[in-house]
Amino acid sequence: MPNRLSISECIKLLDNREIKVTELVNAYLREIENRDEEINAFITVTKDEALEKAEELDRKGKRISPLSGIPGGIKDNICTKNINTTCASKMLKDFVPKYSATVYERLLDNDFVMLGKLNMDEFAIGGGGEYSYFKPVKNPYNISHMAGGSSSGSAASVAAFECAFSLGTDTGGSILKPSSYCGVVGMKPTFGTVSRYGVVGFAPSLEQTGPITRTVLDNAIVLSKIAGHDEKDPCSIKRDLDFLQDIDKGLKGLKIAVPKELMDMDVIQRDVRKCYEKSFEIFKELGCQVDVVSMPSLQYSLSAYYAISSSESASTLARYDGIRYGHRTEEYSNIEELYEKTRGEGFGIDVKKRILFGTFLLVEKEKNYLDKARKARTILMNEYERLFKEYSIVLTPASPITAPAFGEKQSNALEKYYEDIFTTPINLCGIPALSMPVCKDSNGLPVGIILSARHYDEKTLYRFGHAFEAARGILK
Amino acid sequence: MDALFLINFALKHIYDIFLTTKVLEVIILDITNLEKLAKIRLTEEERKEIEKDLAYFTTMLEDPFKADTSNVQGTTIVSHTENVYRDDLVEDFEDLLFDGEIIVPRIVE
Repeated sequence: MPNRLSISECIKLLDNREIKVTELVNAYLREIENRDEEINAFITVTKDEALEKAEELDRKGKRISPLSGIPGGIKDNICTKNINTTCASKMLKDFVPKYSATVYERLLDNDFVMLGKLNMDEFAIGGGGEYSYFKPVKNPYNISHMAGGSSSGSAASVAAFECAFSLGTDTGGSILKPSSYCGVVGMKPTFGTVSRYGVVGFAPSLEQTGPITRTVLDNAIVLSKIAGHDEKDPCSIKRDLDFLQDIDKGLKGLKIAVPKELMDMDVIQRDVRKCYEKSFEIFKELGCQVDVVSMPSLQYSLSAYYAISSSESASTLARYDGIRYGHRTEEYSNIEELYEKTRGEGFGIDVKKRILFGTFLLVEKEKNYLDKARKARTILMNEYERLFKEYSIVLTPASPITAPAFGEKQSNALEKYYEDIFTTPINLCGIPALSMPVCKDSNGLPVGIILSARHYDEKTLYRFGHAFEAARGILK
Repeated sequence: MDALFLINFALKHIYDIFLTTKVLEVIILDITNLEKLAKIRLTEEERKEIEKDLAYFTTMLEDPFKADTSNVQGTTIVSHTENVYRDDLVEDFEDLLFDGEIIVPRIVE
């Protein structure tokens, strides 16, 4: 089954001509055909284009990049020229972009094989994968459970062997959390590392695109090919892009910080806590020092995140008004009614909630919540900066719980948003983070951890992740 | 789930109900105005759900007020930003060009 191989294993076989690209692509397409009807990871499968590309690569014979002939999927908020980009929303269900996102073009330049567009929470707002206009994404480990979100299809497709890798986007944990729920490896790179030109976002000061894979090494390979400065993205940065240079160096003598405040949280499930503590032991056996440290400003991160992201979403999503493109209501008597009905019909409940909350924050002048949230963001950034002077990484669980079952979701909004307690500080600070599996809970669902590092230090995260994965083995 | 988790969950839920009933009135007054400002028409069912959730959201917003933010400058973006300048390119609009300008089709009568 070639679709069960890692990217690095495929590279060897393709280099030695022991397998054809068409064989590889067909194996993935078969898996999609057999399994995706229940998983719902894909919104669009580009089968004909994938086979055509595979045949072209086999004819050509020459591999120009490690990703040549490697089949992957793209989250459906990343613009792909002439291929539907729906953002899993009724608003954009028929939208076909006239241009491609830079990150997708970079993959095309590396001769990857596009398998299709991946399901997600509508407009990347949501944490479970259940808020797609089309269909909810199910967890490959147990289809009565959620895949996590918003990059739900991106994580589920990799876990279900329907893709060798995928691209997701992360605004408040949208790569890290679904990767954890689905037992795969997800990277949220430093803000500005991967171009966002052509990526449909909702909170521009927080978002970043990143890869999801089955192994840490595969993840570093993909990030190496998609990262880099892009003059079309105003936030794009020029930086060192060698993510693989330290991957085999080992961890002896390196220091890990474990935030006391998060350790003390009563919302962490017992199995999650057990796996998290097991990860300390593994890191200690690898020669690391694990210290419990205090990070008092973490308590502000969830509220600061929701204030900032909601305010930005109210502004960013204002463009969907039925005038320029996307869904438009059929009956209206004036322009105000056209706007209101179009947006009422086109957006799902979670998107509406976020926009209205953001609108509330933007008009509320007396308390100036948004200003306070931005200041809390600065305090949080300073705290991380101080910590990274002494420690190589900060280690937390990926989520307080494992993938919830459909219909058994938390009873109120606050419970639901507490799931993001470990991921939101990462986006507020723009630092890189790696989500990877540790073990399974008593129901057989994956439990993940998050490793975060200082800005531009993805190579240290891959170093830690690679050593940890070698010690623990890949989750099966 | 262990017993301690369930007890904590239940206590939090009771506390949340208390908070919600305290602030719900204010939010109910605001929601229609927010719909107008955001230009989104809600169904009655959606309005009820959103009212409830906004109430939870607002309780959470008080957290950053616990922090001492005197002499702290707010962060709007974590990296530098650079203006992107592009040439205005007009494609496939030949039929709409009139005297050097583009006639945009009328949408609303």
